[in-house]
Amino acid sequence: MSLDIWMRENPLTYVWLGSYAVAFLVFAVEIAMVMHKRKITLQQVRQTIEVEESE
Amino acid sequence: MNKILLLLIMVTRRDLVLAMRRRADVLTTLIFFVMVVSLFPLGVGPETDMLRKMAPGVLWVSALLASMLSLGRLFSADYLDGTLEQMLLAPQSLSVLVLGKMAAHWMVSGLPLVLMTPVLGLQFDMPLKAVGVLMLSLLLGTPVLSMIGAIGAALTLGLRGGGVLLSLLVLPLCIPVLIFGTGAVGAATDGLGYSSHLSLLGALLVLAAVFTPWVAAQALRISME
Amino acid sequence: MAINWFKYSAPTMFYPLAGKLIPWFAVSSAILFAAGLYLGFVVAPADATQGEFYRIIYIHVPTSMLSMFLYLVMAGYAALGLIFNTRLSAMMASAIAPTGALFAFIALWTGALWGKPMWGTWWVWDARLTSELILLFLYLGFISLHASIDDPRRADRAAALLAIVGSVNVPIIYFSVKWWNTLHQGSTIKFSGTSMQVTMQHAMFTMLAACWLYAVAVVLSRVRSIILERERHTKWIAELSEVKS
Repeated sequence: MSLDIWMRENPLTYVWLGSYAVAFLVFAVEIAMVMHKRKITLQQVRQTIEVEESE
Repeated sequence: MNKILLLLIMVTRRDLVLAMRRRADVLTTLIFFVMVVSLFPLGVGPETDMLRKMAPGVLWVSALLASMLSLGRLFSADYLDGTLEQMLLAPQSLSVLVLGKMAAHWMVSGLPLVLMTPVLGLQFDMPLKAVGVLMLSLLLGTPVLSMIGAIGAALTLGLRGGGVLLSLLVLPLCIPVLIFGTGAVGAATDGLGYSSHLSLLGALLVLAAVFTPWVAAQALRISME
Repeated sequence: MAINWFKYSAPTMFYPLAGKLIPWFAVSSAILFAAGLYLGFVVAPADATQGEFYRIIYIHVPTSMLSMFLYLVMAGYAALGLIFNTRLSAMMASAIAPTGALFAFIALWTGALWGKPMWGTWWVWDARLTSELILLFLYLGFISLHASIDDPRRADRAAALLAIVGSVNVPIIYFSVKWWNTLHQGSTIKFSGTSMQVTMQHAMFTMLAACWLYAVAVVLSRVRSIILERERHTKWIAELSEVKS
């Protein structure tokens, strides 16, 4: 119940923290994941090429 | 045309014979269905009014889960012993073969559930008319579940953890059937017309019968190549 | 002057092109996000009936629209890959899926947060929210089917077929859920009954464009990783500057 009261008193904080902060957090996590994946993939590719060259 | 029908009957009969040799599998699905339905009153309490209201949903969801349970076996036995590969190479239309297998699957895992419904309906104190409509809606709806499920079974053929994955793929696609099926019973108990629900279910059945065999055949080709 | 668009459908050509485009999409998306937030929170007035809470609309509506569009785009790419057997379209489809699923998640989350002050509950079995949930399930099915098949070619084709079946099913699901909803709830709850002001519309479109650009940037950079992974045995990958260093 206290959440309801708090919500009505601070609508903008509620909107910001609840929706926009979460949404941008999800975006940030996704960007981090994509960048991490690129790093890992590049490492893998280099390893594959090294192995193929040594053979 | 006659040849296709003959082929259809042959495939269906073959699958039925195979299923009858392993009667335990058929019984397991039925027992699972009865058990899940019987668990609900234990979970939510024995108030008759509430149970009567819940009954169509409970029976439908249980039927949905029970048909998921047996889907994994639809192609896997034929896949393991190499029969499926022969079917893919056969000159006959693969879609017809798949349709025959779907029909057999429904007769083995869908039809018993429909026949069991009146008994379970009594457990939930459903009025006689509602039980009739429920049976009719299951009769129209469970073949669609078998058909949509066959696509999922074909796609997940031979994968590890295929059973859970199969449910994950197929359950969301079955939602319309569930909605119309329970909607028909709900309308009947409220004294409203239920024919529109059943017509829509019938439309889904026709649509599924036309398209899903072909899609499942494509899925089999993808999985087997 | 005829531009050969098919030139860019080969991974060899697409990879460097995507690399050049990503920064532009990313930067313009960031600018539009900033502009959209400014328009939505500073310029646009509070709603007469919903007060400040309505401002969730600027993130909720664009993300839910995008989650639906992305599913169609994904299914389109999947169909292209299945019919014409092009490598790149299958890769695009599998690159779009995670972004679409995340957009669906954000749409559900913000929808729940909007529902709390407006309807008094976090979740209402409203037709749109329910369809959005089912859409999230469809995305998850696509991703997990793709992930559980080891052979990439079979994974692409199987997931593509599932995406197509799903996209045929989406309208049926939507209408059945809507119909179910009107049967079960006497009074339908409307998201925004009041007509929107022009400034609100501007803010919404800016946010929508920002989300589009963001999605394109993320999908392109994900597809670049997928190309690298799939084609790592080819010569042109070995000659890339970022691989050599």
